Amino acid sequence: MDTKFTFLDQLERDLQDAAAREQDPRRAFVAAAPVDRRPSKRRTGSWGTIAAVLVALLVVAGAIGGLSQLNQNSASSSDTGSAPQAQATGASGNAGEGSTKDLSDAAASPVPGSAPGIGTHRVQLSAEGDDSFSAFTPGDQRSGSQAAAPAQDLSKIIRDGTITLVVPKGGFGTAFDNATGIAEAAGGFVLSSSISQENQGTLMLRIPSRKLDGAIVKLRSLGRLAELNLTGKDVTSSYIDLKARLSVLQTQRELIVKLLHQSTTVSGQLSLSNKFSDVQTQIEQIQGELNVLNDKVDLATLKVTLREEGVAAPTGTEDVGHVSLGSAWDRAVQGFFGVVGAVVVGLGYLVPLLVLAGLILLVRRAVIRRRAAS
Amino acid sequence: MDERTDAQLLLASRMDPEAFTALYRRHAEALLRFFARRTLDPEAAAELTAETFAQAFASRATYRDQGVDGVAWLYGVARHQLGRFFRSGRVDAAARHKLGMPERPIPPEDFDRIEELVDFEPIRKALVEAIEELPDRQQDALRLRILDGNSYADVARALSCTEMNARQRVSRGLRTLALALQERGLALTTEAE
Repeated sequence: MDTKFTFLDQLERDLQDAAAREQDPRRAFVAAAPVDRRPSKRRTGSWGTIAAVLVALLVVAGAIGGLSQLNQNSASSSDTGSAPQAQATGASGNAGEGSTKDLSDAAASPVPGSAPGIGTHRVQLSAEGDDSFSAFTPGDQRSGSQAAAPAQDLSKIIRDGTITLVVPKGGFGTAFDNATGIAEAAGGFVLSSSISQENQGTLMLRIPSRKLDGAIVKLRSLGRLAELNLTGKDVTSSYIDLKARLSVLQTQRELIVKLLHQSTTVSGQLSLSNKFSDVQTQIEQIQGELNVLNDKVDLATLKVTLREEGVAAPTGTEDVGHVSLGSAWDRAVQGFFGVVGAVVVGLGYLVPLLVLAGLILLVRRAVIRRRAAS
Repeated sequence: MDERTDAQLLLASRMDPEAFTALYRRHAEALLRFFARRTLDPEAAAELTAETFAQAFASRATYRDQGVDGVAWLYGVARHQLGRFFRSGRVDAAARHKLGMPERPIPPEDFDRIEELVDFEPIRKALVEAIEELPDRQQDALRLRILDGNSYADVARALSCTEMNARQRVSRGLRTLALALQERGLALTTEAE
Protein backbone atom coordinates (compact mmCIF):
# COMPACT_ATOMS: atom_id res chain seq x y z
CA MET A 1 0.00 0.00 0.00
CA ASP A 2 1.31 3.43 -0.86
CA THR A 3 -0.38 5.88 1.46
CA LYS A 4 0.71 9.37 2.24
CA PHE A 5 1.72 8.05 5.68
CA THR A 6 5.14 6.47 5.88
CA PHE A 7 4.11 5.07 9.21
CA LEU A 8 1.18 3.11 7.75
CA ASP A 9 3.35 1.68 4.98
CA GLN A 10 5.86 0.51 7.55
CA LEU A 11 3.08 -0.94 9.69
CA GLU A 12 1.83 -2.93 6.72
CA ARG A 13 5.29 -4.43 6.24
CA ASP A 14 5.45 -5.25 9.96
CA LEU A 15 2.09 -7.00 9.76
CA GLN A 16 3.23 -8.96 6.71
CA ASP A 17 6.37 -10.00 8.57
CA ALA A 18 4.23 -11.11 11.50
CA ALA A 19 2.07 -13.12 9.11
CA ALA A 20 5.16 -14.71 7.58
CA ARG A 21 6.44 -15.62 11.04
CA GLU A 22 3.11 -17.20 11.81
CA GLN A 23 3.40 -19.31 8.67
CA ASP A 24 6.98 -20.27 9.46
CA PRO A 25 7.58 -20.21 13.25
CA ARG A 26 11.32 -20.82 12.75
CA ARG A 27 11.64 -17.25 11.49
CA ALA A 28 10.14 -15.95 14.67
CA PHE A 29 13.41 -16.25 16.54
CA VAL A 30 15.13 -13.90 14.13
CA ALA A 31 12.30 -11.60 13.23
CA ALA A 32 10.80 -11.22 16.67
CA ALA A 33 13.73 -9.12 17.82
CA PRO A 34 12.33 -5.60 17.77
CA VAL A 35 14.22 -2.81 16.07
CA ASP A 36 13.14 -0.11 18.44
CA ARG A 37 11.50 -1.28 21.55
CA ARG A 38 10.76 1.15 24.26
CA PRO A 39 10.38 -0.05 27.82
CA SER A 40 6.88 -1.31 28.29
CA LYS A 41 4.96 -1.41 31.52
CA ARG A 42 3.06 -4.30 30.04
CA ARG A 43 6.26 -6.37 29.75
CA THR A 44 7.12 -5.53 33.33
CA GLY A 45 3.60 -6.53 34.21
CA SER A 46 3.92 -9.88 32.50
CA TRP A 47 7.19 -10.55 34.31
CA GLY A 48 5.44 -9.60 37.51
CA THR A 49 2.66 -12.04 36.67
CA ILE A 50 5.19 -14.80 36.02
CA ALA A 51 6.94 -14.02 39.30
CA ALA A 52 3.61 -14.01 41.14
CA VAL A 53 2.65 -17.35 39.59
CA LEU A 54 6.02 -18.84 40.57
CA VAL A 55 5.70 -17.55 44.13
CA ALA A 56 2.15 -18.90 44.33
CA LEU A 57 3.41 -22.23 42.98
CA LEU A 58 6.15 -22.39 45.61
CA VAL A 59 3.74 -21.44 48.38
CA VAL A 60 1.30 -24.14 47.27
CA ALA A 61 4.19 -26.62 46.99
CA GLY A 62 5.35 -25.63 50.48
CA ALA A 63 1.86 -26.08 51.87
CA ILE A 64 1.49 -29.50 50.25
CA GLY A 65 4.97 -30.54 51.40
CA GLY A 66 4.28 -29.29 54.90
CA LEU A 67 1.02 -31.19 55.06
CA SER A 68 2.61 -34.36 53.76
CA GLN A 69 5.45 -34.09 56.31
CA LEU A 70 2.91 -33.44 59.03
CA ASN A 71 1.09 -36.60 58.03
CA GLN A 72 4.35 -38.55 57.97
CA ASN A 73 5.30 -37.28 61.40
CA SER A 74 1.96 -38.21 62.87
CA ALA A 75 2.21 -41.61 61.20
CA SER A 76 5.71 -42.20 62.54
CA SER A 77 4.61 -41.05 65.99
CA SER A 78 1.89 -43.64 66.04
CA ASP A 79 4.36 -46.24 64.80
CA THR A 80 6.82 -45.53 67.57
CA GLY A 81 4.04 -45.48 70.08
CA SER A 82 2.94 -48.95 69.09
CA ALA A 83 6.39 -50.55 69.06
CA PRO A 84 8.80 -48.46 71.09
CA GLN A 85 11.14 -51.29 71.97
CA ALA A 86 11.77 -52.12 68.33
CA GLN A 87 12.50 -48.52 67.47
CA ALA A 88 14.54 -47.30 70.32
CA THR A 89 16.67 -49.65 72.30
CA GLY A 90 16.95 -48.77 75.91
CA ALA A 91 13.96 -46.51 75.63
CA SER A 92 11.66 -49.13 77.00
CA GLY A 93 9.19 -47.85 79.47
CA ASN A 94 5.94 -48.85 80.97
CA ALA A 95 4.01 -45.68 81.15
CA GLY A 96 0.88 -45.59 83.22
CA GLU A 97 -2.45 -44.34 82.11
CA GLY A 98 -2.25 -40.87 80.62
CA SER A 99 1.45 -41.07 80.04
CA THR A 100 3.05 -40.12 76.74
CA LYS A 101 6.26 -41.17 75.08
CA ASP A 102 8.10 -39.35 72.38
CA LEU A 103 10.74 -41.48 70.77
CA SER A 104 11.35 -39.38 67.72
CA ASP A 105 14.59 -40.02 65.90
CA ALA A 106 15.19 -43.02 68.10
CA ALA A 107 15.28 -45.20 65.03
CA ALA A 108 18.21 -43.18 63.79
CA SER A 109 20.20 -43.70 66.96
CA PRO A 110 23.83 -44.24 66.15
CA VAL A 111 25.04 -47.78 66.22
CA PRO A 112 28.53 -48.08 67.61
CA GLY A 113 30.92 -49.03 64.90
CA SER A 114 28.71 -47.72 62.14
CA ALA A 115 29.28 -44.47 60.28
CA PRO A 116 29.00 -41.75 62.84
CA GLY A 117 26.70 -38.81 62.39
CA ILE A 118 25.41 -35.91 64.35
CA GLY A 119 21.94 -36.36 65.59
CA THR A 120 19.73 -35.69 68.53
CA HIS A 121 18.11 -38.59 70.26
CA ARG A 122 15.39 -37.92 72.70
CA VAL A 123 13.47 -39.91 75.20
CA GLN A 124 10.59 -38.16 76.80
CA LEU A 125 8.28 -39.45 79.44
CA SER A 126 5.57 -37.43 81.01
CA ALA A 127 3.54 -39.20 83.61
CA GLU A 128 1.41 -38.30 86.52
CA GLY A 129 1.43 -41.87 87.74
CA ASP A 130 4.09 -43.98 89.36
CA ASP A 131 5.77 -45.86 86.55
CA SER A 132 8.64 -48.18 86.26
CA PHE A 133 11.20 -46.87 83.85
CA SER A 134 14.66 -47.45 82.53
CA ALA A 135 16.30 -44.88 80.34
CA PHE A 136 18.77 -45.64 77.63
CA THR A 137 22.50 -45.31 77.82
CA PRO A 138 24.95 -45.02 74.95
CA GLY A 139 25.93 -48.60 75.53
CA ASP A 140 22.32 -49.68 75.62
CA GLN A 141 21.88 -48.46 72.08
CA ARG A 142 23.13 -51.80 70.90
CA SER A 143 20.11 -53.98 70.69
CA GLY A 144 19.57 -57.61 69.82
CA SER A 145 22.49 -59.00 67.92
CA GLN A 146 24.23 -55.66 68.07
CA ALA A 147 24.27 -55.81 71.86
CA ALA A 148 26.02 -59.14 71.67
CA ALA A 149 28.78 -57.73 69.46
CA PRO A 150 31.89 -57.05 71.51
CA ALA A 151 32.66 -53.89 69.54
CA GLN A 152 34.16 -51.07 71.49
CA ASP A 153 31.79 -48.13 71.95
CA LEU A 154 33.49 -45.30 70.07
CA SER A 155 30.42 -43.09 69.91
CA LYS A 156 30.51 -39.73 71.60
CA ILE A 157 27.13 -38.70 72.89
CA ILE A 158 26.30 -35.65 74.94
CA ARG A 159 23.49 -36.47 77.29
CA ASP A 160 21.18 -33.94 78.86
CA GLY A 161 17.95 -34.27 80.67
CA THR A 162 15.34 -32.80 82.91
CA ILE A 163 13.38 -34.58 85.57
CA THR A 164 10.52 -33.21 87.60
CA LEU A 165 9.54 -34.94 90.82
CA VAL A 166 6.63 -34.29 93.12
CA VAL A 167 7.55 -35.06 96.72
CA PRO A 168 5.17 -35.54 99.66
CA LYS A 169 4.21 -32.47 101.68
CA GLY A 170 6.93 -31.49 104.11
CA GLY A 171 9.46 -33.70 102.36
CA PHE A 172 11.01 -31.08 100.10
CA GLY A 173 14.07 -30.34 102.24
CA THR A 174 14.96 -34.00 102.67
CA ALA A 175 14.44 -34.75 98.99
CA PHE A 176 16.60 -31.79 98.01
CA ASP A 177 19.46 -33.01 100.23
CA ASN A 178 19.04 -36.57 98.98
CA ALA A 179 19.23 -35.42 95.36
CA THR A 180 22.55 -33.75 96.10
CA GLY A 181 23.74 -36.93 97.79
CA ILE A 182 22.73 -39.10 94.82
CA ALA A 183 24.73 -36.87 92.45
CA GLU A 184 27.82 -37.04 94.65
CA ALA A 185 27.47 -40.80 95.15
CA ALA A 186 27.46 -41.25 91.36
CA GLY A 187 30.70 -39.30 91.14
CA GLY A 188 29.02 -36.09 90.02
CA PHE A 189 28.37 -32.74 91.57
CA VAL A 190 25.80 -29.98 91.87
CA LEU A 191 26.52 -27.28 89.30
CA SER A 192 23.89 -24.92 90.63
CA SER A 193 20.77 -25.01 92.75
CA SER A 194 17.91 -22.72 93.63
CA ILE A 195 14.99 -22.90 96.03
CA SER A 196 11.81 -20.85 95.79
CA GLN A 197 8.94 -20.60 98.28
CA GLU A 198 10.67 -23.21 100.48
CA ASN A 199 8.72 -26.01 98.87
CA GLN A 200 10.06 -26.14 95.35
CA GLY A 201 13.52 -25.87 93.85
CA THR A 202 15.82 -26.81 91.02
CA LEU A 203 19.21 -28.50 90.96
CA MET A 204 21.54 -28.58 87.98
CA LEU A 205 23.55 -31.80 88.32
CA ARG A 206 26.61 -32.96 86.40
CA ILE A 207 26.75 -36.74 86.57
CA PRO A 208 29.10 -39.16 84.75
CA SER A 209 27.19 -40.26 81.65
CA ARG A 210 27.54 -43.96 82.40
CA LYS A 211 25.99 -43.50 85.78
CA LEU A 212 23.20 -41.17 84.69
CA ASP A 213 20.56 -43.87 84.43
CA GLY A 214 21.36 -45.31 87.83
CA ALA A 215 21.18 -41.82 89.29
CA ILE A 216 17.81 -41.21 87.64
CA VAL A 217 16.45 -44.45 89.08
CA LYS A 218 17.57 -43.36 92.53
CA LEU A 219 16.19 -39.85 92.04
CA ARG A 220 12.83 -41.29 91.09
CA SER A 221 12.61 -42.93 94.49
CA LEU A 222 12.48 -39.44 96.01
CA GLY A 223 8.96 -38.79 94.82
CA ARG A 224 6.39 -39.20 92.14
CA LEU A 225 7.70 -38.70 88.59
CA ALA A 226 5.91 -35.81 86.90
CA GLU A 227 8.10 -35.35 83.87
CA LEU A 228 11.23 -36.83 82.40
CA ASN A 229 13.01 -35.67 79.31
CA LEU A 230 16.34 -37.11 78.18
CA THR A 231 18.23 -36.07 75.09
CA GLY A 232 21.34 -37.51 73.52
CA LYS A 233 23.29 -35.56 70.92
CA ASP A 234 25.67 -37.62 68.84
CA VAL A 235 28.87 -35.64 68.30
CA THR A 236 30.98 -38.55 67.13
CA SER A 237 31.66 -37.10 63.70
CA SER A 238 32.66 -33.73 65.18
CA TYR A 239 34.92 -35.52 67.62
CA ILE A 240 36.57 -37.64 64.94
CA ASP A 241 36.96 -34.60 62.73
CA LEU A 242 38.66 -32.63 65.50
CA LYS A 243 40.93 -35.57 66.31
CA ALA A 244 41.93 -35.92 62.67
CA ARG A 245 42.67 -32.21 62.36
CA LEU A 246 44.67 -32.36 65.58
CA SER A 247 46.69 -35.28 64.28
CA VAL A 248 47.50 -33.47 61.03
CA LEU A 249 48.50 -30.31 62.86
CA GLN A 250 50.70 -32.24 65.26
CA THR A 251 52.48 -33.87 62.33
CA GLN A 252 52.92 -30.43 60.78
CA ARG A 253 54.34 -29.12 64.03
CA GLU A 254 56.90 -31.94 64.19
CA LEU A 255 57.91 -31.27 60.61
CA ILE A 256 58.30 -27.55 61.27
CA VAL A 257 60.47 -28.26 64.32
CA LYS A 258 62.69 -30.53 62.21
CA LEU A 259 63.00 -27.91 59.48
CA LEU A 260 63.69 -25.25 62.10
CA HIS A 261 66.67 -27.26 63.33
CA GLN A 262 67.96 -27.67 59.79
CA SER A 263 67.46 -24.05 58.73
CA THR A 264 70.63 -21.97 58.56
CA THR A 265 69.27 -18.60 57.44
CA VAL A 266 67.65 -16.03 59.71
CA SER A 267 64.79 -15.35 57.29
CA GLY A 268 64.06 -19.06 57.00
CA GLN A 269 64.04 -19.49 60.74
CA LEU A 270 61.75 -16.49 61.13
CA SER A 271 59.31 -17.83 58.58
CA LEU A 272 59.29 -21.30 60.14
CA SER A 273 58.91 -19.78 63.57
CA ASN A 274 55.79 -17.91 62.45
CA LYS A 275 54.35 -21.06 60.95
CA PHE A 276 55.11 -22.96 64.12
CA SER A 277 53.27 -20.31 66.10
CA ASP A 278 50.20 -20.55 63.82
CA VAL A 279 50.09 -24.32 63.98
CA GLN A 280 50.58 -24.31 67.74
CA THR A 281 47.69 -21.88 68.17
CA GLN A 282 45.44 -24.07 66.05
CA ILE A 283 46.48 -27.17 68.03
CA GLU A 284 45.60 -25.43 71.27
CA GLN A 285 42.24 -24.31 69.92
CA ILE A 286 41.34 -27.80 68.78
CA GLN A 287 42.63 -29.28 72.00
CA GLY A 288 40.40 -26.86 73.88
CA GLU A 289 37.37 -27.84 71.80
CA LEU A 290 38.14 -31.51 72.36
CA ASN A 291 38.42 -30.92 76.09
CA VAL A 292 35.02 -29.19 76.15
CA LEU A 293 33.52 -31.99 74.05
CA ASN A 294 35.03 -34.65 76.28
CA ASP A 295 33.75 -32.91 79.37
CA LYS A 296 30.23 -32.71 77.94
CA VAL A 297 30.36 -36.34 76.86
CA ASP A 298 31.81 -37.59 80.15
CA LEU A 299 29.46 -35.61 82.35
CA ALA A 300 25.75 -35.50 81.60
CA THR A 301 23.77 -32.47 82.68
CA LEU A 302 20.56 -33.21 84.50
CA LYS A 303 18.15 -30.57 85.65
CA VAL A 304 16.15 -31.82 88.61
CA THR A 305 13.03 -29.95 89.63
CA LEU A 306 11.51 -30.84 92.95
CA ARG A 307 8.21 -29.56 94.23
CA GLU A 308 5.92 -30.52 97.04
CA GLU A 309 2.54 -32.04 96.47
CA GLY A 310 -0.07 -29.33 95.77
CA VAL A 311 2.40 -26.74 94.52
CA ALA A 312 1.64 -25.54 91.02
CA ALA A 313 4.17 -26.38 88.37
CA PRO A 314 6.22 -23.36 87.30
CA THR A 315 5.28 -21.79 84.00
CA GLY A 316 7.48 -22.25 80.99
CA THR A 317 8.75 -18.68 81.00
CA GLU A 318 12.09 -19.65 82.49
CA ASP A 319 12.63 -22.13 79.70
CA VAL A 320 12.18 -19.36 77.20
CA GLY A 321 14.96 -17.48 78.92
CA HIS A 322 17.23 -20.50 78.57
CA VAL A 323 17.06 -20.48 74.79
CA SER A 324 20.62 -19.71 73.86
CA LEU A 325 21.70 -17.89 70.73
CA GLY A 326 23.31 -21.09 69.50
CA SER A 327 20.16 -23.15 69.85
CA ALA A 328 18.12 -20.35 68.32
CA TRP A 329 20.45 -20.42 65.30
CA ASP A 330 20.16 -24.20 65.10
CA ARG A 331 16.39 -23.91 65.17
CA ALA A 332 16.47 -21.22 62.48
CA VAL A 333 18.67 -23.36 60.22
CA GLN A 334 16.43 -26.38 60.82
CA GLY A 335 13.41 -24.24 60.06
CA PHE A 336 14.95 -22.96 56.82
CA PHE A 337 15.81 -26.41 55.54
CA GLY A 338 12.45 -27.66 56.76
CA VAL A 339 10.65 -25.13 54.58
CA VAL A 340 12.94 -25.83 51.59
CA GLY A 341 12.36 -29.55 52.06
CA ALA A 342 8.62 -29.02 52.26
CA VAL A 343 8.68 -27.00 49.01
CA VAL A 344 10.69 -29.72 47.25
CA VAL A 345 8.30 -32.41 48.48
CA GLY A 346 5.33 -30.29 47.39
CA LEU A 347 6.85 -29.78 43.92
CA GLY A 348 7.07 -33.54 43.64
CA TYR A 349 3.30 -33.63 44.00
CA LEU A 350 2.68 -30.62 41.74
CA VAL A 351 4.96 -31.37 38.79
CA PRO A 352 2.91 -34.32 37.45
CA LEU A 353 -0.25 -32.23 37.79
CA LEU A 354 1.34 -29.32 35.93
CA VAL A 355 2.53 -31.64 33.17
CA LEU A 356 -1.02 -32.99 32.87
CA ALA A 357 -2.45 -29.47 32.78
CA GLY A 358 0.08 -28.54 30.08
CA LEU A 359 -0.91 -31.53 27.96
CA ILE A 360 -4.60 -30.64 28.31
CA LEU A 361 -3.86 -27.05 27.22
CA LEU A 362 -1.88 -28.27 24.21
CA VAL A 363 -4.70 -30.57 23.13
CA ARG A 364 -7.24 -27.78 23.62
CA ARG A 365 -5.14 -25.41 21.53
CA ALA A 366 -4.78 -27.98 18.78
CA VAL A 367 -8.56 -28.56 18.75
CA ILE A 368 -9.24 -24.81 18.54
CA ARG A 369 -6.78 -24.43 15.67
CA ARG A 370 -8.31 -27.34 13.81
CA ARG A 371 -11.79 -25.89 14.24
CA ALA A 372 -10.57 -22.49 13.06
CA ALA A 373 -8.92 -24.09 10.03
CA SER A 374 -12.08 -25.96 9.15
CA MET B 1 -8.90 -4.27 -5.68
CA ASP B 2 -10.21 -7.14 -3.61
CA GLU B 3 -13.94 -7.57 -4.09
CA ARG B 4 -14.51 -9.60 -0.97
CA THR B 5 -16.41 -8.13 1.99
CA ASP B 6 -14.63 -7.30 5.25
CA ALA B 7 -16.18 -10.33 6.92
CA GLN B 8 -14.98 -12.58 4.08
CA LEU B 9 -11.50 -11.09 4.28
CA LEU B 10 -11.36 -11.66 8.03
CA LEU B 11 -12.47 -15.28 7.73
CA ALA B 12 -10.09 -15.91 4.84
CA SER B 13 -7.19 -14.34 6.75
CA ARG B 14 -7.11 -17.30 9.13
CA MET B 15 -5.46 -19.40 6.44
CA ASP B 16 -4.32 -16.65 4.08
CA PRO B 17 -2.67 -13.70 5.88
CA GLU B 18 -2.66 -11.77 2.60
CA ALA B 19 -6.40 -11.32 3.07
CA PHE B 20 -5.68 -9.45 6.28
CA THR B 21 -3.34 -7.17 4.36
CA ALA B 22 -6.22 -6.34 2.05
CA LEU B 23 -8.39 -5.52 5.05
CA TYR B 24 -5.59 -3.36 6.43
CA ARG B 25 -5.21 -1.44 3.18
CA ARG B 26 -8.93 -0.84 3.13
CA HIS B 27 -9.24 0.58 6.65
CA ALA B 28 -5.83 1.74 7.89
CA GLU B 29 -6.22 5.43 7.05
CA ALA B 30 -9.78 5.59 8.29
CA LEU B 31 -8.77 4.01 11.54
CA LEU B 32 -5.86 6.42 11.90
CA ARG B 33 -8.28 9.31 11.40
CA PHE B 34 -10.66 7.72 13.91
CA PHE B 35 -7.91 7.73 16.52
CA ALA B 36 -6.47 11.13 15.57
CA ARG B 37 -9.85 12.83 16.02
CA ARG B 38 -10.36 11.26 19.39
CA THR B 39 -6.91 11.56 20.88
CA LEU B 40 -5.79 14.77 19.09
CA ASP B 41 -2.35 13.26 19.52
CA PRO B 42 -0.57 12.08 16.32
CA GLU B 43 1.78 9.81 18.21
CA ALA B 44 -1.00 8.16 20.23
CA ALA B 45 -3.18 7.87 17.12
CA ALA B 46 -0.45 6.11 15.17
CA GLU B 47 0.39 3.76 18.01
CA LEU B 48 -3.26 2.95 18.61
CA THR B 49 -3.68 2.15 14.92
CA ALA B 50 -0.71 -0.20 15.02
CA GLU B 51 -1.86 -1.88 18.21
CA THR B 52 -5.43 -2.26 16.93
CA PHE B 53 -4.35 -3.99 13.74
CA ALA B 54 -1.89 -6.16 15.66
CA GLN B 55 -4.64 -7.13 18.11
CA ALA B 56 -7.07 -7.79 15.27
CA PHE B 57 -4.49 -9.94 13.47
CA ALA B 58 -3.66 -11.89 16.63
CA SER B 59 -7.31 -12.58 17.43
CA ARG B 60 -8.75 -12.89 13.91
CA ALA B 61 -9.49 -16.57 14.59
CA THR B 62 -12.07 -15.50 17.16
CA TYR B 63 -14.12 -13.58 14.60
CA ARG B 64 -17.42 -15.26 13.77
CA ASP B 65 -19.57 -14.17 10.88
CA GLN B 66 -22.78 -13.85 12.84
CA GLY B 67 -24.18 -10.76 11.22
CA VAL B 68 -21.56 -8.43 12.62
CA ASP B 69 -19.71 -6.81 9.78
CA GLY B 70 -15.96 -7.22 9.67
CA VAL B 71 -15.31 -3.50 9.89
CA ALA B 72 -17.61 -3.23 12.92
CA TRP B 73 -15.58 -5.95 14.58
CA LEU B 74 -12.38 -4.05 13.73
CA TYR B 75 -13.76 -0.83 15.22
CA GLY B 76 -14.84 -2.80 18.29
CA VAL B 77 -11.19 -3.70 18.80
CA ALA B 78 -10.28 -0.05 18.17
CA ARG B 79 -12.77 1.25 20.76
CA HIS B 80 -11.43 -1.20 23.29
CA GLN B 81 -7.91 0.09 22.69
CA LEU B 82 -9.11 3.69 22.88
CA GLY B 83 -10.89 3.03 26.18
CA ARG B 84 -7.72 1.57 27.62
CA PHE B 85 -5.75 4.56 26.38
CA PHE B 86 -8.08 7.04 28.06
CA ARG B 87 -8.06 5.04 31.29
CA SER B 88 -4.32 4.54 31.54
CA GLY B 89 -3.00 7.50 29.53
CA ARG B 90 -0.72 5.21 27.53
CA VAL B 91 -0.95 2.94 24.53
CA ASP B 92 -0.65 -0.74 25.20
CA ALA B 93 1.85 -2.71 23.10
CA ALA B 94 0.99 -6.23 24.19
CA ALA B 95 -0.38 -7.40 20.85
CA ARG B 96 2.62 -6.05 18.93
CA HIS B 97 4.98 -7.76 21.38
CA LYS B 98 3.04 -10.98 21.04
CA LEU B 99 3.50 -10.87 17.27
CA GLY B 100 7.12 -9.76 17.52
CA MET B 101 6.32 -6.42 15.91
CA PRO B 102 8.55 -3.49 16.83
CA GLU B 103 7.22 -0.29 18.39
CA ARG B 104 8.29 2.19 15.76
CA PRO B 105 8.65 5.94 16.26
CA ILE B 106 6.51 8.10 13.98
CA PRO B 107 8.45 9.73 11.17
CA PRO B 108 8.44 13.57 11.59
CA GLU B 109 6.69 14.09 8.25
CA ASP B 110 3.73 11.99 9.44
CA PHE B 111 3.14 14.26 12.41
CA ASP B 112 1.81 17.09 10.25
CA ARG B 113 -0.22 14.77 8.06
CA ILE B 114 -1.92 13.08 10.98
CA GLU B 115 -2.77 16.45 12.50
CA GLU B 116 -4.37 17.41 9.23
CA LEU B 117 -6.79 14.55 9.72
CA VAL B 118 -8.24 16.40 12.68
CA ASP B 119 -10.75 19.08 11.88
CA PHE B 120 -10.57 21.46 14.82
CA GLU B 121 -13.09 23.94 13.44
CA PRO B 122 -16.29 22.50 15.01
CA ILE B 123 -14.85 22.66 18.48
CA ARG B 124 -12.64 25.72 18.24
CA LYS B 125 -14.49 27.54 21.07
CA ALA B 126 -14.28 24.59 23.46
CA LEU B 127 -10.71 24.10 22.39
CA VAL B 128 -9.74 27.67 23.29
CA GLU B 129 -11.32 27.26 26.73
CA ALA B 130 -9.57 23.95 27.32
CA ILE B 131 -6.22 25.35 26.24
CA GLU B 132 -6.51 27.98 28.97
CA GLU B 133 -6.27 25.20 31.55
CA LEU B 134 -3.02 23.77 30.22
CA PRO B 135 0.46 24.53 31.62
CA ASP B 136 1.99 27.68 30.05
CA ARG B 137 4.63 25.86 27.99
CA GLN B 138 2.06 23.56 26.39
CA GLN B 139 -0.37 26.47 25.92
CA ASP B 140 2.18 28.47 23.95
CA ALA B 141 3.10 25.48 21.82
CA LEU B 142 -0.54 24.68 21.05
CA ARG B 143 -1.49 28.28 20.23
CA LEU B 144 1.42 28.62 17.83
CA ARG B 145 0.77 25.28 16.17
CA ILE B 146 -3.00 24.71 16.23
CA LEU B 147 -4.54 28.17 16.44
CA ASP B 148 -1.96 30.13 14.43
CA GLY B 149 -1.14 27.25 12.08
CA ASN B 150 2.66 27.64 12.27
CA SER B 151 5.00 24.87 11.17
CA TYR B 152 6.90 22.96 13.84
CA ALA B 153 10.11 24.69 12.74
CA ASP B 154 8.48 28.09 13.41
CA VAL B 155 7.04 26.89 16.73
CA ALA B 156 10.49 25.70 17.78
CA ARG B 157 12.04 29.05 16.81
CA ALA B 158 9.38 31.00 18.70
CA LEU B 159 9.81 28.89 21.82
CA SER B 160 13.61 28.72 21.53
CA CYS B 161 13.67 24.96 21.64
CA THR B 162 14.37 22.11 19.28
CA GLU B 163 11.78 20.99 16.77
CA MET B 164 11.51 17.63 18.54
CA ASN B 165 10.86 19.44 21.80
CA ALA B 166 8.15 21.53 20.17
CA ARG B 167 6.49 18.39 18.83
CA GLN B 168 6.54 16.83 22.30
CA ARG B 169 4.94 19.90 23.89
CA VAL B 170 2.21 20.02 21.27
CA SER B 171 1.68 16.28 21.53
CA ARG B 172 1.35 16.34 25.32
CA GLY B 173 -0.90 19.38 25.15
CA LEU B 174 -3.16 17.70 22.62
CA ARG B 175 -3.36 14.55 24.68
CA THR B 176 -4.45 16.55 27.70
CA LEU B 177 -6.90 18.43 25.54
CA ALA B 178 -8.40 15.21 24.23
CA LEU B 179 -9.03 14.03 27.78
CA ALA B 180 -10.57 17.40 28.67
CA LEU B 181 -12.86 17.28 25.64
CA GLN B 182 -13.88 13.73 26.46
CA GLU B 183 -14.91 14.90 29.92
CA ARG B 184 -16.99 17.69 28.36
CA GLY B 185 -18.66 15.20 26.06
CA LEU B 186 -17.08 16.67 22.94
CA ALA B 187 -15.35 14.40 20.46
CA LEU B 188 -13.96 15.19 17.07
CA THR B 189 -16.00 12.61 15.26
CA THR B 190 -17.95 12.54 12.07
CA GLU B 191 -21.21 10.84 11.29
CA ALA B 192 -19.43 8.28 9.14
CA GLU B 193 -17.53 6.97 12.12
